[in-house]
Amino acid sequence: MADVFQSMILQLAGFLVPATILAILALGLNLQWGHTGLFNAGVAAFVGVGAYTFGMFATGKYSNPGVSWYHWGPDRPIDMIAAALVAMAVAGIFGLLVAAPALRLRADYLAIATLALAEIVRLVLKNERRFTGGDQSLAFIPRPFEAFVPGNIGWASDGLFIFIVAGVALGVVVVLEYVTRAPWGRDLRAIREDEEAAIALGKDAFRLKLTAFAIGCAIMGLAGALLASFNRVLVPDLFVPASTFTAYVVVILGGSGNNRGVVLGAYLFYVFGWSTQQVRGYLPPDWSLRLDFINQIVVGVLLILVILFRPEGVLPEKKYVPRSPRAE
Amino acid sequence: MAGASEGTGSDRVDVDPPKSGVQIPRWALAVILLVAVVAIMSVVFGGNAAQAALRGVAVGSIYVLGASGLSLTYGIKKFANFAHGDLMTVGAYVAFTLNVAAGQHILAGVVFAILVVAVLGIFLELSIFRRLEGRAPVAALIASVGVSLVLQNVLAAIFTGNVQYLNVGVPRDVPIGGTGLSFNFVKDGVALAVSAGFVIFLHVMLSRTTLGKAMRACADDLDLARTSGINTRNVILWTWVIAGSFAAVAGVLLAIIVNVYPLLGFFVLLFIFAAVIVGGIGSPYGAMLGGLIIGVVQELSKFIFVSMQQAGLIEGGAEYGPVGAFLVMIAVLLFMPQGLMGVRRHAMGGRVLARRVRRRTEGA
Amino acid sequence: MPPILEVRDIVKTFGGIRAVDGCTLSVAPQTITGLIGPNGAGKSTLFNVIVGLFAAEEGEVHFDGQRIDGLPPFRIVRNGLIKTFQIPRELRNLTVLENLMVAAPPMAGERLHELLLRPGQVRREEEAVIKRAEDVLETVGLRELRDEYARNLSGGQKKLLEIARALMAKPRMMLLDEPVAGVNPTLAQRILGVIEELRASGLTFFLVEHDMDVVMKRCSWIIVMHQGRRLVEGLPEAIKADPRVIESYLGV
Repeated sequence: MADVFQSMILQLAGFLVPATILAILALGLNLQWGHTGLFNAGVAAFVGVGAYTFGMFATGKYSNPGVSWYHWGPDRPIDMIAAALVAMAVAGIFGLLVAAPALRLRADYLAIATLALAEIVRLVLKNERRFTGGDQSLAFIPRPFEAFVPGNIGWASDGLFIFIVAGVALGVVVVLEYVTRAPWGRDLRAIREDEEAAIALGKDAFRLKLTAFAIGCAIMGLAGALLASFNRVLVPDLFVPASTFTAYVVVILGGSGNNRGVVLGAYLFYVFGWSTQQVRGYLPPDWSLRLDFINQIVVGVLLILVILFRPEGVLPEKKYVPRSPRAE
Repeated sequence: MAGASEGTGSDRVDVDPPKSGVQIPRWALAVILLVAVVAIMSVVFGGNAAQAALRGVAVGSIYVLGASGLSLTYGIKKFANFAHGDLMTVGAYVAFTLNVAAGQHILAGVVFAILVVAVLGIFLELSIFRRLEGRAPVAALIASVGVSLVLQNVLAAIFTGNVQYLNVGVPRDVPIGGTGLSFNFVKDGVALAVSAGFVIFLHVMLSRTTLGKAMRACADDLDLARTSGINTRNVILWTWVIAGSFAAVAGVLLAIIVNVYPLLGFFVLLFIFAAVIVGGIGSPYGAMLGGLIIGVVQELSKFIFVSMQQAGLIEGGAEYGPVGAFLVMIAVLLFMPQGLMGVRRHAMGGRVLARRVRRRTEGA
Repeated sequence: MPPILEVRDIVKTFGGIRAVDGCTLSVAPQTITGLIGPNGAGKSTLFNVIVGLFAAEEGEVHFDGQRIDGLPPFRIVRNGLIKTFQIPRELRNLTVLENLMVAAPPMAGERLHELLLRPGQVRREEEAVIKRAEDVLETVGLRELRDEYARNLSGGQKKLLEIARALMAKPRMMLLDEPVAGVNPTLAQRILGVIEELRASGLTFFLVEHDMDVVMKRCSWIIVMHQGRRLVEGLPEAIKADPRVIESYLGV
């Protein structure tokens, strides 16, 4: 009985944790794209920066025992929450640096520029082993509360991680919902609708876009930190630019501008992937290989259909209808 | 078109009035600068730099094919087609089917590749992109991302994701006289020749034929072209045919020189975007020049990075070739967004200007 | 009283053409001043330069004694000068109420640190702004459409929205670019009535209009632009009869 329970937890974690991390990532993208209309095609780079920063700071310099080279980082590992905050800060500052010149570009130029940036980041991560361990990977990244879980690896640690990511995701959603329903979020949506009109109405559009972009990147960095911790190991190819498109699919399908929709989109995406996995067992071997491709084809077709016929996504943006303060 | 129409005008094009005196165009300056850089680097690094420049021109000629096709659809449909690279991959696989599976000569493969991709382009326009015409250009961009996903994975599902090779013999490199450089008939020669041929074809078509002039008119101002009596729907379809054909040939060349796998075209997409941006959106000639520049910059920057590697500054060397090309593209985006041959667009001023010019020419 | 708006020798070029070619004019406070001239005279361009949407190559703009040329548009709006667009630029996927609230002067809720540290203050200010927005909507007659998406409004309603929005910014002066063009006569009268009421309560209006009836009847002072500069100005009767004005309209 205990074995069944343990394997169930493992399976559940293998699904819930990546899905929730994707949800957090998508929430950051939603702030940039869904609310403000900024097409950041470099999502993979910011997640990667967050992940590697967390890895470096949480493991310290000499993390790979027995190996002569070491990666960049503090001499001793720092507390994981601090490492996560550093990861967020680094990703956010990186976002600021990128955004400052790039935000005046129109949407398609911004997309191409950030895509190129993501590729540059990936190449740097891959080749500069002294920063990152390069292709040899950054390993032995710790998880929170490891001390309480004997042996670290296994169902208990995974199960605990579910609660950790869920807590983080909940926190992010609550904060984002508050700020985006507030005047700040309304200003962002005004910029999305018509930036010039927003400026003509008194909005400092550049500063608002910069802030939204940087915060979105910080959230992506947080998702990266969680990814690093869950995975325990990082390789640069986790952050190929193409994975950016997965994030966009989630945001657009789930509902751009609607935070809950985006979270829903992330889980739907993983449910879809999970159901594909279930079917796999029933298929002859060469069809089994094809299944991944067919999965992606369906995603691509869905994206096209959604853009054509229901661009607001599954959960459209909620209308703002406040109570009238005048006594009627 | 009558009546006041105010808007951002950011898609209006203004031509600067002719300036007095001798003016060296931007693109010529860029070419001169590039040649100078190659010369300097040949002195510093020796013959290898010149070889790299030569290789860069060859690589660049494939970018030229891809970029000129992309710039046609970009100019007329006003969106960045992220599926353009995958159109190239489709061309490669069609050629593969004919060449390997059906045992035909590679030229048959080329012909069929052009046919298939052209039809595919028409299909995409009619089913998807036409419907997105009234929407923001980002919508079409996102749709093209979806198309890209579909194309890549359909090809992978049919042909498996493994790397395949065409049945075409690629000869060895041949040393050139006493220069210390070597030349490959296929990789350098055929690629250059084919590109040059298509470039000439495009130039003749755009400048001499009715269709070409109609395409230029539509790219400049679609509404104006339509009201002037041009059948814009047909012109758009023909644009896709031509862009698709160029992509197909580029894909086949890539297949010959490199190999065939589902991400073949997507891999070069960023370079092709870089070429279009450096050359200037809306200018097919700019795209051609941009393709060569990006190719040469890519190969040359490997040298710079390798010497940085040897100096211990960085760990990666030749792998950073793409970084050089991307940095050039980003610099162009930030400081000269109209590119080398693009026409400067005045935000918000263009419509005023156009209106006043039109009224003056229309009389009282 | 000193003029509330002063434009001195403004030059604005596009490509080779001088849309505004050394324009100098001023507007007296608490008036409805008209700006007329043939198409292409540079009126809309001048408006854009005044509010900072275009950068002039030469010249100065002074508002209420302060120099504003070179300032970013959002700062000019916060100083009390706002412009409406000739073709309404409604924020399509926001409600009418939201459209107005965007235009309100800076609120606590727009600053992140205030959102997090002083939520009570944020809520209070939000409610006050909602109330003010509803009052403004009442004034222009759009109250029932408060929660309607702006994209669903009719052309005339969008024009009203454009004006209502500008009012929310608590301006001291409004530049109106063809406020009643393409609007049915009844609605036009309502809009003009609102404008007159607001003028009486202290606002200054500078408006571009092609409808000569409106201009002559409603404006207390008219400035005529021609080929990028001020041609002549004066009382409506004088302008109507001025041969130079008639010639400038016929000549184009």
